Amino acid sequence: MAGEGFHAGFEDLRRRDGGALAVLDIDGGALLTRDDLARRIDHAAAVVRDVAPAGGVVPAWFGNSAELLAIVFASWREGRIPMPIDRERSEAEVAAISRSLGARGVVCDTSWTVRPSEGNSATAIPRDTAVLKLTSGSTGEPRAVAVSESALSHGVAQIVSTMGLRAEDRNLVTLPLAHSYAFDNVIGVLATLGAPAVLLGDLIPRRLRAVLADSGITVWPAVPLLLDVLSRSSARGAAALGALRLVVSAGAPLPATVREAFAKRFGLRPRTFYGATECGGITFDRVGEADLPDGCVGTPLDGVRVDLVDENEGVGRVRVRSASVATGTFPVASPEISEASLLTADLGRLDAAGRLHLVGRAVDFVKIHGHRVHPGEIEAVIRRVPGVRDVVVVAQARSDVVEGLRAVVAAAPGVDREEILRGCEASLPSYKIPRSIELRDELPRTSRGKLDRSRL
Amino acid sequence: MDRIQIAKRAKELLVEGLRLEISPDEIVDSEPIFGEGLGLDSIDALEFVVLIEEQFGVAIPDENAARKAFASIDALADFIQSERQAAAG
Repeated sequence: MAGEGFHAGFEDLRRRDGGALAVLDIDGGALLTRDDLARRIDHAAAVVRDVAPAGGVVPAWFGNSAELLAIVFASWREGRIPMPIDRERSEAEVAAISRSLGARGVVCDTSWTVRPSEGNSATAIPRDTAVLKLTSGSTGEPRAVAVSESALSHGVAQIVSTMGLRAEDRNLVTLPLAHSYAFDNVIGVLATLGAPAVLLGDLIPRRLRAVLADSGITVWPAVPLLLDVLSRSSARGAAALGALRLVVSAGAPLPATVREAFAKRFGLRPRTFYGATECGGITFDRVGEADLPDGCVGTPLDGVRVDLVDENEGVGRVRVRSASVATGTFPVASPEISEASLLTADLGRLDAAGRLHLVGRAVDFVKIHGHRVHPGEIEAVIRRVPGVRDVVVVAQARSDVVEGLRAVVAAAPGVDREEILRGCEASLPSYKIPRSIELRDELPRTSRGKLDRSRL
Repeated sequence: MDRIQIAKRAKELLVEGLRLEISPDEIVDSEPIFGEGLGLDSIDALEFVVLIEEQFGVAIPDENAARKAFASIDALADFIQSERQAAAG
């Protein structure tokens, strides 16, 4: 059965050393040994059995917590399929995706409430699925990526081998465990190596630095935003990060300026990691050179092969072949996934040293808070606001490391920003709401009537 | 820098640093900065913390302190003023 190997692996680790640290929840002030986590898993098992029949989906709409880990492990033990969902998703999205996968309920982090989702068992998820990871389909709707036990275990092994992770490592968790990156690097590594997870929600730079310095953290799967604020924060204090030996950066491009500012300040250079929900890790900066150019994401992970499709002057769509590629997506299939191969949404080129350089996207989407956001979904929502004639949503840099959304709206006189915002708030989660809304009489068009993006 | 100047500079930093499409004068000193009103999120909050630390040489120790200090421009100006007086004295 799917995922049971992961629970069995953790049980082995617990039998060997039940007193070893498993989870340190800093905001919650809780320290759990493997034995403690096993007791939480026992408790979570009853909830899991209540939410889903054997082989069914357990949607877990949770913030980072020991309870989320317990739900995932309990789902594995009980032969159910965990589907961790980021707290940032809206209730409507959670309900829609859960229903479409035939889930009977959703487990929420407020006192383990089970919300009915009136699912039916129409969608058949492959029986060897160990986890469903949420991503966005081409029209923006959430889509579940089914990762088999074999793919997940290969994916985790590739990361462990390429990054040189060890059982003694201690992972700092500052991004949602529901994200594929954190799921593999933290839950996967806890289940297979026993490396404990330190959970921290308070990301104020000074607090983050204190925790890094004092909590025995050795590995930090980070995002560029946090590396940027940490190296810019001028708050007094020693520029030392304790036992930290590896800082990984993923989720968004890491500009060389941000990378080098961090390296200069803390004497440790962040390493770029590139991956996709549908296949796990793809490439990693194994070397950590100071002159790695922007866009270079390193070489393929151990066991991963990368090539380019529809190549033109050395640039093509990045294709990944790996035993870690997902089985498929549900409820809508994704043509990009076939037998152990994924066609990503990214354009890249390979250099003589075998390093991959990302140069753009083959598919129109924007990365916001680590989520793929498709402008078309937001445009459709704004178009429904009375008086709106036309709209285009584009990416707008908020800083060197953060992308935001900007809507340019052609509307009848009298339609204001507030009305458009209200329309967005009614059906979109906060991260999909444009930060900037500009009202114009008409959208700029070229003489041929095409949208003139240069004048947006 | 007196309290009025601190509040004025903080509003300028908020608008310039977070690339907001409003004028600093439109920000009401007594109203919440984050969560409602200006439509700012947790990423803006982090960015603003760093800008305030850089500009005023103060340190925000953790989220609890940030929640209090960043409750409004009034609260922020009070916080900055008392930190600077403590550092000077």
